[in-house]
Amino acid sequence: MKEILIISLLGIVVLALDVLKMRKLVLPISAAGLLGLIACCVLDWNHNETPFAQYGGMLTFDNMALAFTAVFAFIGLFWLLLAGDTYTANTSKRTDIFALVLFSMCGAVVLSAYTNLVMLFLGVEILSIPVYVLAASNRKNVLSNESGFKYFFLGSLASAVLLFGISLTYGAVGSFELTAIQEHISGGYYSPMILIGTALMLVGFSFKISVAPFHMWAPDVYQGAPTPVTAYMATVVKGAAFAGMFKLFGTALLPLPAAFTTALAVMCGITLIASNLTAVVQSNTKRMLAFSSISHAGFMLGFILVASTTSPKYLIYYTLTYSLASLIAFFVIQHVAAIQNEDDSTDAFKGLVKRSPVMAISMTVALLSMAGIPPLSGFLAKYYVISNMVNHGYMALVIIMILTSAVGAFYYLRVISAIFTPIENAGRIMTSDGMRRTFIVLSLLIVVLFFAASLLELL
Amino acid sequence: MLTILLLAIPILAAGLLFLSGAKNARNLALGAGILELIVTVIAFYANKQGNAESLLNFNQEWIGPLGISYAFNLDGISLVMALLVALLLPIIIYASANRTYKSPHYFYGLMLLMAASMMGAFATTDGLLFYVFYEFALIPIYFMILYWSDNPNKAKITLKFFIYTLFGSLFMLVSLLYLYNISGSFNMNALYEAGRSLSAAQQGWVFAGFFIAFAVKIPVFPFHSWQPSTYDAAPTAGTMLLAGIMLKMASYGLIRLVIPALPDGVAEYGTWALALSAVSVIYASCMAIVQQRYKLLIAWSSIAHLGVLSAGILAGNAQGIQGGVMEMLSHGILSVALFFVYDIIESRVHHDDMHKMGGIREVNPLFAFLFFAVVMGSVALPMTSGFVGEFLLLIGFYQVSPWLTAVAGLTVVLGAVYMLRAFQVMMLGSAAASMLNFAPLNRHEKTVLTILVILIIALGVYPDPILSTSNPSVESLLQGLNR
Repeated sequence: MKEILIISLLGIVVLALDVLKMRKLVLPISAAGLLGLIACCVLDWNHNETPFAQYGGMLTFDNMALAFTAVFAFIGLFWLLLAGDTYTANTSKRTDIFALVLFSMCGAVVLSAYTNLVMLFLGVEILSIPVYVLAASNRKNVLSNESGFKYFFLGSLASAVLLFGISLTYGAVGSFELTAIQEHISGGYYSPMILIGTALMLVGFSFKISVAPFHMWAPDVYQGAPTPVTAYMATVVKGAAFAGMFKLFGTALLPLPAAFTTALAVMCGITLIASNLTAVVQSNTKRMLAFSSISHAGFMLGFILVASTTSPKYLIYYTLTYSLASLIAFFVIQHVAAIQNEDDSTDAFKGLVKRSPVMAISMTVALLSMAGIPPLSGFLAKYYVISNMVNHGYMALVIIMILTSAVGAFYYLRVISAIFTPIENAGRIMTSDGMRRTFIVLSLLIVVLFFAASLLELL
Repeated sequence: MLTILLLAIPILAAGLLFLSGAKNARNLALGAGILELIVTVIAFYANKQGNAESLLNFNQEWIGPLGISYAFNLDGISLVMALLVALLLPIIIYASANRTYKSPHYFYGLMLLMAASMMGAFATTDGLLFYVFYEFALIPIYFMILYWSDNPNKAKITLKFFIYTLFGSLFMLVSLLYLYNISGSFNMNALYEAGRSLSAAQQGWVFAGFFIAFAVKIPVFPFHSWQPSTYDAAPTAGTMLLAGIMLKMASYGLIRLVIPALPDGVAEYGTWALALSAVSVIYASCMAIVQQRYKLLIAWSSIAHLGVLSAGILAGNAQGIQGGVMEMLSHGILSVALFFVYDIIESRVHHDDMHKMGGIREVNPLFAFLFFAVVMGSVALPMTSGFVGEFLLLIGFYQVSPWLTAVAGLTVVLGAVYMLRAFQVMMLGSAAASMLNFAPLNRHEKTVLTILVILIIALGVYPDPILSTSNPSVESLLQGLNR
């Protein structure tokens, strides 16, 4: 209860601060709010005996929901800190954007805790609608407008498909409750209506998490949207969609018919292959990271494949580590591009090690973590996926994951290689102390989470 | 306790270097290297005395429920490998005094980090931890080449090197996971049990995964193509680390993981690997013979020697493995010596085209003499360390396949061809005009070369301390294997 209240009130408070002309307080208050949200999650931990069933049992904050919520709040917190340094010139715009992000995070919380398909749909919509606006928030830029338009158009189509799937399922079961759906199909019999419903819900979700063949929108939208917004889309939005999907496929739709497991496995494979091969030929770093983000969605889809027998904690770990690395990567791109006429090609990174050592090292750590090199947490995240795949006998997928990881290292290293290539008369990139500190903390977290991975077993 | 010290010293020293700045970076690194050597020698003694379990053993849970722990144990084989790291590290650092590197604190810091990760790989008894150390060693050397190399193609070369080895090691990860899936723990003994419980065909697949990983790094033909260009591009200290120590992680991996865990897989499919190793020997020797440049010649000769190494180890008997352990140490020392010779020549004449040299002996007889001793070690002359290792390896290999041994044994003949020819072209004859002002060796060059030559001869004359240290561990490793 507290969780959902805090996050929804926070957005309204931030908007009110703008009206009251107290814009300086926006960042401290939203950061404090998110910290409060994390604190609530910690306090409510292990209340499993009396689950917090709210709104007539439509939201349940069990441990997993709390863990997802806390992780999203944690990522959101760092996003605010980094974005706070980016949007300084125009404080009014900053309040709008922060409020929209906080509203969208409300959807992420709902998606972590829903136990009812209506809530699932509401969560997806609350999550997405502010992001449509955010993607187009750079009003004078054609690409940003294109990005917002594309995202809105295809996003609403996906929502419609999802909703149709939900209604068909409701028609067959007679209830929106996840438990009721589970009871209905516990015998393993899927009536045609539920089969179609499940397929449509899978399609809807696949769009939201951008896995092939429903990923086409992602590169354009990621590239066109303002970079901080892209960072938000790649981290919280994607993570929340995965949280929702994991719950649906891990608790309600059990046992999943073999056709669907096959479909998921095939989607996982083609996502990995398509995204990694396309990423190799990108010269624009933002677009490259968009494809890399699709590739990570492919890895995370591995968890959905085994959702019925695997604890979501590994998905949480993956989301967290990938998000930390993404935040660094996108915001470094933002600052590198900002001082050279919005040039975000790989060449723009040349000599970064001299121009801004902190950004150079953080970017290197982030990219190596995404490539899955130990001792960075990205390695363990990938390890958990591959380990699960071996465990369930998906050897073909394992081979694809291995090969595409090596391909992935190729395009990440190209950027690193540029960072450490010296150039003539490189001017230093000025960054604020606060931002440097945030980058350092994020990089350290990426390392520490590797060694502290045993904490995950407490979940 | 000592094991943790061996890991902590280089890591802490690296941290200190990163923070403290460029002043005295080399001396600080050298101090850490010597300290590391002292601790290793103490560990050697502790092992000799027996009852040193508590000193050499360390076990701390990391991710308990998943059976992953920070487990280290220095047994005989690991001790020899630790000695390899600890012996060569200070020598490589001291030998770098010839050169001034920009931002030396980062350079030597990365070097120490690399030493730490190699030490970790040699000491750990946890499969996943071995993978982590094995993989992490790539990062420092990648940056050492990328940032400190003068080669205009370094970006491409480092990329190829990195992708190639990463690609290989990922296959090892799959094989490890496959075994782990049965054992439920990454403890190496559990992995051995899991491996032996598999059918021969399954063992063959797991073996294939391991072999690809290690064949890329050893390297064995046809997975070697990254090696010559990488050796060439790396700054000399980096090449020494690569050739001297880092690639030994792969052959060590064969001994530690493949031989005890997959006896049937090796028996069934090992012939392929043996044949590849033999081809590797001949192919690399021929390539070495036609090289014009000294550094590339050494790079190719390295592949030839390591072909014998992998063949001997994969023979899977006590002689082969003992020879492997000895050869890893000896080849490490010899590679460092050979690349140091390159460094001395390159710093004076600024190229390494052998045909533009000649007559250096006339100008600098001491250098020629020391180089000759190194060459003798490299062609495995009796009474040098090279002989002991290669002889044992070939004995081991012979028991499995006499024919292939005859092929691989050509390494000794072909090695003599290219090494003696190189020596002759560079050192003998009348001095070319450009060689006349070949400066005499300075103090530290003399020291380094002398130490290396003494080591080469000492280990050749009296290899017993090494062999008797590794012997009990080799025996226990092979226990329960039916051959």
